Amino acid sequence: MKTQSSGLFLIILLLTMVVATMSARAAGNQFSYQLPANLSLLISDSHFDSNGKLQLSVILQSTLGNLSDLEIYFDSSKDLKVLTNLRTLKNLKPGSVRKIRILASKTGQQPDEIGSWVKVGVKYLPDYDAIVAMASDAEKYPDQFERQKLLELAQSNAQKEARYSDAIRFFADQAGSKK
Amino acid sequence: MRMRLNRSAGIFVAIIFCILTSGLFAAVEQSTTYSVITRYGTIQEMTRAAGSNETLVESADGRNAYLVRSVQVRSEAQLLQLMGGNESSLTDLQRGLLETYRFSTHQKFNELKPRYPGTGGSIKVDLVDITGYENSERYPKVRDDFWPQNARLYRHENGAYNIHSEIRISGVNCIGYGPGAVSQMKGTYAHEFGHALDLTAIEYNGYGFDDTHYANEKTAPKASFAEGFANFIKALFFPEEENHTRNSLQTVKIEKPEGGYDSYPIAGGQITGEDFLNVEAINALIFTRLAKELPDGEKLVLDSFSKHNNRDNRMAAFLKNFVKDYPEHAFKAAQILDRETFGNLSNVQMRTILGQSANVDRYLASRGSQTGSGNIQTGTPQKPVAQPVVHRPGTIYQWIDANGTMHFTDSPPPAGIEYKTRRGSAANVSGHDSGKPPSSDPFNID
Repeated sequence: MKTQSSGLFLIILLLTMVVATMSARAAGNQFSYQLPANLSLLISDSHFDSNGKLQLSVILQSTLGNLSDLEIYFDSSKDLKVLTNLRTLKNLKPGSVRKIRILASKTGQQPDEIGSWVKVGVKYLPDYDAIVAMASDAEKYPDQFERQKLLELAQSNAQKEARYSDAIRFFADQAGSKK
Repeated sequence: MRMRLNRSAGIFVAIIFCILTSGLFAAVEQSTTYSVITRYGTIQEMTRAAGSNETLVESADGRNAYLVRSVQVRSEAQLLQLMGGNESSLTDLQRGLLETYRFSTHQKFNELKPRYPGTGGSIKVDLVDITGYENSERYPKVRDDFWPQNARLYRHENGAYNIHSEIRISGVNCIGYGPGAVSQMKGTYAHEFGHALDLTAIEYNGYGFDDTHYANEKTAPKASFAEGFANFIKALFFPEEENHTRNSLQTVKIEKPEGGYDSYPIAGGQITGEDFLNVEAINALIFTRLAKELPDGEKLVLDSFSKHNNRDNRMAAFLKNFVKDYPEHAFKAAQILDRETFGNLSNVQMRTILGQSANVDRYLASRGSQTGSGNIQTGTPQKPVAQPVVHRPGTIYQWIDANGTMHFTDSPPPAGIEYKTRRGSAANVSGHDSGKPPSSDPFNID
């Protein structure tokens, strides 16, 4: 009798666990267009050298128009110190590729809560003529209302001559792999 | 001694009152996590590579996956540290995450939290950092994989089901927007927060075959209600949304089973009767105008919504409940419904939606012969038109405020602001070609 009760209890418990978490359907996606990326950042090589320093190679490429006034900066978790200095580039023409080598040494401190990482960031002035031309493309963006929203956003950024800020982050435990 | 006893009793009553009222108005618990994508590759590779602190997120392509690390956010300074240390070196989307975090503490959200359904639930906001994964050529499904959403979870806890919301903000819907991403991401947060307050169980395929929805798309009743309500909550924080929503209503989109959409003039006869309430933009405008135009309207709308909030929410039911809750405002509710459905509802349809009320009858009588057509016409799809549809006759004031935002109002702008007026006439595409003039309400604009 006692065994039967325990069995019943276990079945009820299992059933309860099965239905304990049910998720309701999330809402569908609100349609919105996206603008193409202006800049491609790719880590082409990563490894720790014989001195225990992290070496990274990052490839920069313009993917939309002529980017100008580029400022390349670095951040890292506190267990790493980036030895490479901030770089600037007057412009990055369509199709042209630049490679930057980054060297980081260990500081002896503990990594961050999310791990050990190096961030390579680029602030730049995008090619607003190219962006506005792209946003006006009725073939690429056929919905007139949504295209207009995109165009207004591009024009607003252009009026302010707003600089874009993109980055790539590399987690040191992946050294040796490509991202 | 007696006074002391009385005083003690008074304090006791006050404490009990505080406990009871705090229970009544207890705000839902909210927490924030910061998640960062650390790696991308095939599912097999990522399964092998996943560390104990990483979650595997499979891509919608069915072949690839991301590794994601998540950390509880305890403070703004810590969030900044997690993203890179200082504010000046944030990417545009990271800045959007930071500003969303700040925005989530807005007092108005705290005022809305007691309206969160049920007790014992929670809201978890997940700020997903997609830095380095924005390139849709390299990561083709990143938009689908991290699209902002509110996921509702029912968990069985302490003998009852509690509702938990998980709001995800990532900025994937703002890729390429540059610094313009910040305001978009905050708006997305407000929209998703609106979903968190709402119990509507959206229909299977409620958004159509592509599971995507436009503001001016005809969708299922519950889907259009849920989106309209979420857009209304967004408009509470961003009043300029009302104009954007109105502008979207130049046409209505109807999804084709074979894929793609047909666009029709909004009042061209393709949708009739209650189907007008299956367009989220129309629902958003009805909520927004009730909240804006009635005295203490925002509270009335939210109170009525909270009182009747359930899985089967839809605009027709909301309006009927609203009229029942506030019969004194039935005239205004009828007027707004009539305006926002372009005068196309017949008296019978209006009464079916709003229910029996002397004030509804009074409004319908004031319509006189200007009743909506309520009939079915055939229409042919058109490409989205540059020339907008004229909805109503009347004087419309068009003006630009100090921030450069264009307004269309049915009353003049504040003194000193230049404006243009328009006096419309019923358009030949507005569904009034039966010869009956539409009502004279001027709010809907060309």
